[in-house]
Amino acid sequence: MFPFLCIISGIFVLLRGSMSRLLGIEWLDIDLIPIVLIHLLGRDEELRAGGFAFCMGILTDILAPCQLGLFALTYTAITVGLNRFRQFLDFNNTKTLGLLVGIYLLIKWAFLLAVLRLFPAGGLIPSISFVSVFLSALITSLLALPLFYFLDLAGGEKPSGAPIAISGDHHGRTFGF
Amino acid sequence: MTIFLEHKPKWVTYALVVLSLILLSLSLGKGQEWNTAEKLAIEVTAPIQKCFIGTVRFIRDIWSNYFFLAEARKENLRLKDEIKLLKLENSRYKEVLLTNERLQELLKFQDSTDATLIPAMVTGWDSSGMFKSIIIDKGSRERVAINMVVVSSEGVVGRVVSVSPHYSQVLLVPDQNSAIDGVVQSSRGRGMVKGSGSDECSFDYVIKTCEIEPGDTIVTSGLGGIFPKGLCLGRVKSVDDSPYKLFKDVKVVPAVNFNKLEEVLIILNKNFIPLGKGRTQMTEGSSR
Repeated sequence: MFPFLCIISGIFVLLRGSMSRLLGIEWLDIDLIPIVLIHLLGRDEELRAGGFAFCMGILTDILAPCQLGLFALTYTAITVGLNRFRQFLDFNNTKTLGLLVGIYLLIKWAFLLAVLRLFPAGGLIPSISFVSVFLSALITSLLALPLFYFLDLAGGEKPSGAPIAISGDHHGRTFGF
Repeated sequence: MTIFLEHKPKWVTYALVVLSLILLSLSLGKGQEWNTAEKLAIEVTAPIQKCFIGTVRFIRDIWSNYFFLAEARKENLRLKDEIKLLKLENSRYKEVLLTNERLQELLKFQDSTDATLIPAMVTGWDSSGMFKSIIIDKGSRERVAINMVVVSSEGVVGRVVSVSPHYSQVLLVPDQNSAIDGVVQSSRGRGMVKGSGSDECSFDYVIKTCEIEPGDTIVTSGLGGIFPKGLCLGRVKSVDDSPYKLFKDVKVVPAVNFNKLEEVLIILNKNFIPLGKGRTQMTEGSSR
């Protein structure tokens, strides 16, 4: 399942700009990488999440006119941060996972802007509209809900050691707050 | 050692964060040029983008040509392309006429340059969602270099910021990081066309005495050494001459429709392309 996720996500990163352009939604930042990352964290697969964040970040760095390492640092740092505070977060509820995806995207933008403001040497400053960022976070969060369902279906049971919800669906996730 | 093995995933993830930070630190101050590894990655990944774009265009072309009045569609496309070329030619003639009227007879570029244009296909758009850039299918093997100007029949598209052997990255005019010195074609008033990240640009530093009206054409001034003189940048959309501002506030609609950008031309040298002297290496399939 994980190699398949990596390939699909890699293709998504490659074609994201072209697809947005074709669909006329290039002003939105619909990013599916945080969905996969949150899914992996939810399954307690920290190592895979870290590797995945790093690889997808590097690929985005290469395809965007920015400094190498910018997106890799952003994705890995946020992933590590979320994992660090996992005891305060509910990874067993699909709705809160959707919310986490939205928060992830908002942190991503804040982090990117902060890094680019702190280290602007030679780097391009991204164009940003706060409305589109919030809208992107909202849409991606909503997209995350069905995607989590399919990812759970495809991924099967959680690996041993992962927390299992007492009440919920057969994959260990509840569908309510 | 035992602690490391017990928390191996955590340490590896932290190591990746540190590695990212090191990569970012190393790449700071080096501009946007691709290094060898990035060039290799682009050479591997760009064909996938190219294949996707090609497939989409193929399907769209089949739909357009065979299911939707094939002949009329072709004729329409041909006429539209012809209008675009005539517009460009007309814009150039206007520029030459005005130049002659002002007795600028010492402009020697017209007979001294023999610019080479190479056509390129747009193979991908910016993946980060943060910038306005494209990837085109011509690179250093075709003598494309950083800061070369990319145009279309409508006007300036942008400039090359990264090059690999077969692909290049072009920063588009509407990107927030793009700034091009321009002049109003009719009044010769100067200013700076700056991208805003949206579909329209601003024409900054226009002095109060400059005669500028909505509909005026903005062309490149040739200053700055990157963009040759006289290329169409856009058309003035609105002018705000508020008495409380130091400069006029001018909004410009770029000449190029970036939403429909498929083929571009790269100017292989930095000199102006004189009328009738531009040598275009058109290849079949990219010269509609």
